[in-house]
Amino acid sequence: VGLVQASCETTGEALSDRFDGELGGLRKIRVARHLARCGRCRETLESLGRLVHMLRELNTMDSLEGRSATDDVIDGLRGELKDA
Amino acid sequence: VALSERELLDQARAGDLDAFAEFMGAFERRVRALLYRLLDDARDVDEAVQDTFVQAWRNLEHFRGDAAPYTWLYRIAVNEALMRRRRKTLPTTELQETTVAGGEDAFAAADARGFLIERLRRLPDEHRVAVVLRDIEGLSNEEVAAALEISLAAAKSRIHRGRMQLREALEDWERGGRA
Repeated sequence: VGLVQASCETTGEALSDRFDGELGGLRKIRVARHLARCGRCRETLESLGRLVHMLRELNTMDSLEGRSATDDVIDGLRGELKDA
Repeated sequence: VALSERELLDQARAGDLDAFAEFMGAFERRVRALLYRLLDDARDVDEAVQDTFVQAWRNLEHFRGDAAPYTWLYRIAVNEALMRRRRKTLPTTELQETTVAGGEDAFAAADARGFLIERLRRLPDEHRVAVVLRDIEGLSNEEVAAALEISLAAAKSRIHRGRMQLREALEDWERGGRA
């Protein structure tokens, strides 16, 4: 039992969970064993990590410009309430 | 004393538009950022922001106290974006040329960031939405599942498949394929 490890296919399906720290139990052990032996899956995990970091940098909340929609929406809703 | 988001929603539910305006002010930028990554047209983004909050106002009675206000709001925004995308009949090749708010995306494919933005747009909607919520907006897997009203397993599957498609495309691009 001690030598059981996941396949490339099973590991590939588990890489997001591995990256997110959400693997547990036997699955975690089997994937860890596979990654220790499979350079290709390690590279895939590394490139997945790079991708996620790049995606996080795409958050534009602080840099978005544009007129606030609040006044228009509230004015519109106030008009609806008045007409109702 | 500033009211919490839930308190604002409670007051809004009682018909207090000023409370709703304050709630909207607290979340408008987040909603706009989300819609910016889900829609491909600047005017669509502006309209979708407005329509999201109008829908939120009209559906205040459906807000359940056990959900985070932004998760509830994101669900409305995602539905709004998907509805707009379904209405569009533009093929993918034309979408690539559509101007997006901010102008930064005009450099699509000029660098890895631009390539990623471009490739993100080409993902199937369900994968795109899941990746945007999880990795760009920073929601947890559980929050993505709640926002999309799907199971945790389904949310994780969509996130993973979206990520892997992007990873593969980015890897090809970095190797020089630049598809």
